[in-house]
Amino acid sequence: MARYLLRRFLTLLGILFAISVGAFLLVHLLPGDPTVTILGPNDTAHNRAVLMAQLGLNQPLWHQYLTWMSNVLQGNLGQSFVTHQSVSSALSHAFPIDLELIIMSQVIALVIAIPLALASARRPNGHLDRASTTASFALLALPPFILVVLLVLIFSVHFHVFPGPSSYVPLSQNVVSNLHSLALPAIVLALGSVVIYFRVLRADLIATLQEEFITVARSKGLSDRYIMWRHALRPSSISLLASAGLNISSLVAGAFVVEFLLAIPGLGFELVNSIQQVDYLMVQGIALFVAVVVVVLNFILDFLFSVIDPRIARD
Amino acid sequence: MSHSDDALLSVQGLEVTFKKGRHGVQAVSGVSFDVFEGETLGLVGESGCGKTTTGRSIMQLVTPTGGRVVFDGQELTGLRRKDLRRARTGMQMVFQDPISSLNPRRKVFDIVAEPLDIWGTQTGAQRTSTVRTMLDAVGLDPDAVSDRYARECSGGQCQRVSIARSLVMRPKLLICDEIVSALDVSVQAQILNLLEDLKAQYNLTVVFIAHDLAVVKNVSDRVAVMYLGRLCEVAPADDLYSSPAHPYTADLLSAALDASPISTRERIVLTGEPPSAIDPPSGCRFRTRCPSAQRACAEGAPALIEIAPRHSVACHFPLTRSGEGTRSST
Amino acid sequence: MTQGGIEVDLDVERFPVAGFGAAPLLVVDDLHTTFTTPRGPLRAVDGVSFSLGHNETLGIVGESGSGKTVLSRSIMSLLPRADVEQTGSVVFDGREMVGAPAKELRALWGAKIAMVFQDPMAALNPVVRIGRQITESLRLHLDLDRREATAQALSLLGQVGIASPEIRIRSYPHQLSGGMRQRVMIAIALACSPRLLLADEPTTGLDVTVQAQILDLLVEMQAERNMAVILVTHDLGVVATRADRIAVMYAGRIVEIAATERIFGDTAMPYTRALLESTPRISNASHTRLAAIDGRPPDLSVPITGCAFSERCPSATERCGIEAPPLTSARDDPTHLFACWNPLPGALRVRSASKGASS
Ligand SMILES: Nc1ncnc2c1ncn2[C@@H]1O[C@H](COP(=O)(O)OP(=O)(O)OP(=O)(O)O)[C@@H](O)[C@H]1O
Ligand SMILES: Nc1ncnc2c1ncn2[C@@H]1O[C@H](COP(=O)(O)OP(=O)(O)O)[C@@H](O)[C@H]1O
Ligand code: SF4
Ligand code: SF4
Ligand SMILES: [Mg+2]
Ligand SMILES: [Mg+2]
Repeated sequence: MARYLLRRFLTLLGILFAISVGAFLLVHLLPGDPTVTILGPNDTAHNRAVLMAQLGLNQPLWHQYLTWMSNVLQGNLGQSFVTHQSVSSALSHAFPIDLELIIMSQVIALVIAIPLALASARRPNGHLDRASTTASFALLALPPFILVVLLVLIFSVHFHVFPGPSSYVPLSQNVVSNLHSLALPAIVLALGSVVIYFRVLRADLIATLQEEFITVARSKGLSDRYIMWRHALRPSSISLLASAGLNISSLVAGAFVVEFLLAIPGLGFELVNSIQQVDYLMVQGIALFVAVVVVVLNFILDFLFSVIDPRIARD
Repeated sequence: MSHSDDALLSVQGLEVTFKKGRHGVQAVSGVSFDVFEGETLGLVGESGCGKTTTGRSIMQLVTPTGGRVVFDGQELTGLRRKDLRRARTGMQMVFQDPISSLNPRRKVFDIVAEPLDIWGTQTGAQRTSTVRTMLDAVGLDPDAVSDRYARECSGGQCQRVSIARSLVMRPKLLICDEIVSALDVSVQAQILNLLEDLKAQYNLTVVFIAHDLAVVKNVSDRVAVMYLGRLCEVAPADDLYSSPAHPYTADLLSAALDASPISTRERIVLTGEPPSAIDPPSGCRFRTRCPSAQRACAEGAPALIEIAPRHSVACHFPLTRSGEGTRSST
Repeated sequence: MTQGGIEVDLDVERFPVAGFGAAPLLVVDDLHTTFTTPRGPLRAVDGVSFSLGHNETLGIVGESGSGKTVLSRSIMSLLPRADVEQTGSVVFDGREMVGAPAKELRALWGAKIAMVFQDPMAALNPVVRIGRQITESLRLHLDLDRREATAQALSLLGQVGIASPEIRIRSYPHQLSGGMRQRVMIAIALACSPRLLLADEPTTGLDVTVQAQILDLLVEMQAERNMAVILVTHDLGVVATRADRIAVMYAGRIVEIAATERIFGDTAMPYTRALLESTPRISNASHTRLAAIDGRPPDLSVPITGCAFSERCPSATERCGIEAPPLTSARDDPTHLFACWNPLPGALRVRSASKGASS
């Protein structure tokens, strides 16, 4: 087990290195004079000189990378030339919002998908199974940006159940209002995941229920509900976990879109603003950070595989 | 055991070690035997004792880490790929799982013809007639099965197809690894009889690997018993079953189930399972389960020595005929 | 033979229980199990009747596909209800099982009737520790708390011959050898001391030595616990010395059932004899020609007319292909039943035949 984890960890380090090089090159290999590209043609000579020094542009490339990397490792991602805010402090404000949003959406998704899949798989092609499969097809056809508009129209504008755009309340201010203000975007994100999780889990459960050990469990006189939760769910969760891993990137993308549309000051919102304002360092910082988070999350999921199925971590 | 020149196959000091993490698994260690032309040598032992590995390393499908395999006067170990391929046409292997060892998407005729196509030895009408003859020889109706896919055949039919394929190149040696283990008694009897017929018809020499003692006795002239990578005993089948000299052979026989309600055999059921091949016991490998084990057994590994004509045993304290006469009589 | 004091209406002629006293524990009457398949109804169990005494061991033998597994699951009513039609009656301990509500069945399963499955690797949940797989039925049926159940599981593991149960109880199935897994399977089945144990090929695929160990364990547990055992197998050797009676199945029916010695000594059915003679025996000299049965068992999704064995039977006559032989009892032994128009001449001939084979 320790060896397995070590091996995975070394792979992780390799991937992180590749990402950092990518993010580094994003800014440093821009064509033309980077100071012009970054600051635009009309900035002052003073600012250009500051930037030159900060980026260490007169050094060889590998040296620039090392300098930049050691700064990054110390949490110094540079300073935005547009807002004059340090990139890392912007990240530390924006990221918790994404984190909360994504966790909320995943909790909602699993709470819906797991019981629904369990109930559907018990009677494949039964009424419930057909209804939920059809519904999941319908949801699949709705991308988040349409869904969010739809839900805002229905629930905010028409029924006033949830607040509309630009009504984000920070967690530190009021927990209940905060959850309320994030509920709608979280549901939008969750619906996309529910479809995937439900379909994957249902298919696996149906296969697992054919297994001999399920018959054995029945022959012990255990109730169907117990068998579903204790015997069928775990061995059927491998694909669920795998799809959760594959889903992370699109989930992040979805979160960004929803944040932008509802003006929630998370990373997505920041990113779009930075791009509009040609704030390269900010873009670089966010890109690097998001990539690292996605990779680390995948690493954790990978570890969860061996928790769910003890056969996987075998040496 | 000394190597005899008239043996078709001679295995000398065969060793196979698999790497498994940090450990090495000694699947086969120091196995020597000869198989003479026209004879069937049975190879029995519990699962994991190295029967399959021995068979595969005779074919050089597994590269032995030590020892020699001499087939038809030619040493196979260390042969170059091309020469090996040619030498291998003289011997063929048939595997346990009849269904998964055949490509389900190919037609029976093409499966049997495959070796001919690979070697390009026969084409056109000659190829067709060879394949049909072979299908007929294994008891399949060539007209009925030629165009069938392997997945449409029953277990017994698949095994017949495997045998037909292995025989089209007219090999001298056939290695059968558990070929009837997955089959029903009635189909098993059909295949065993078929094997006997083919052996006579094509003058085959056979190494018959199985874990079922009754099956092995039925087809073998001589039987070799394996335990944890080593040979325990080699003797003519009837001898070995009536007067086993190795305690392990005696125990195996005593555990065997016979389809007869009247059993006067004294039953000595081995307890436990064989120790791990990663860390085998010192000295005699059977000593941890041997009812006759003594101090000497832990110290030196017993060599395979001939105690009677054609009867060899690897044990410091072999069972004597008189003393153990009751052990296996039915 | 008398069979007094049974609640169920019982035709003694049809349900003899050789030498096992009063009321049988299990009475199976005209049981049919039919699967709905795309190719039409498949009669996997086609009119099976027998009964079983309280301490009895019944061996059920037959070729692959003869319906042994379906029969043993039908007895428990364990088959999923979709696409399966079950008729007839299975009376266990005075209770009708066919069509009983799921709740009633669940109260019996694992508690009064338990099953040992063929492939222990497939039968054990790969992601659940051995301990939980044993304790869950203890906690359910005997209402033990976690600690009591664990203590009981440890003792069960010890009884089935698992060394260091404290370690094994925390293992996952893949960490055990095949023989150990089957021992665990037996411990699971025995957990609540059932009255009837159905063992479906409990040793197929295991080594001879382990096979002997497992069978001895089953016999020992049966003697200790006073239970009835149905031992399903395709290997006559497995039941030869361990079953009181043997039922031979062919194409979903019992074609012969009798006390073990009679099955071997006074075989009446040509099929039973063919099965016996096609089995290689250690007691026979090497290169003894096996009497193989040609052909294959019939396709069960095609309705069978006459005797299902007629196409392969050496004794078949015209009548065999037209009319199905009923299960009738031997003249000299009412507990010996067979379904054949031309039964073998019996004792004398078969005994001399088996002597001839071994000489
Ligand atoms: N779920 C099912 N649906 C349709 N047919 C089935 C099903 N289960 C079993 N059968 C059929 O029922 C017949 C009897 O099967 P069963 O598994 O009882 O045989 P068996 O005697 O146990 O064989 P084996 O020795 O191979 O275990 C076979 O023809 C089989 O194909
Ligand atoms: N490819 C392999 N890699 C590692 N170990 C192997 C391999 N093949 C076989 N072994 C090990 O070698 C031993 C002998 O195996 P095998 O020859 O298959 O036994 P048998 O055929 O007698 O059952 C076993 O311990 C088995 O686990
Ligand atoms: S050498 Fe010793 S331990 Fe080995 S089989 Fe002989 S008596 Fe037993
Ligand atoms: S009824 Fe006829 S075909 Fe069937 S077993 Fe008896 S003799 Fe053979
Ligand atoms: Mg093998
Ligand atoms: Mg079965």
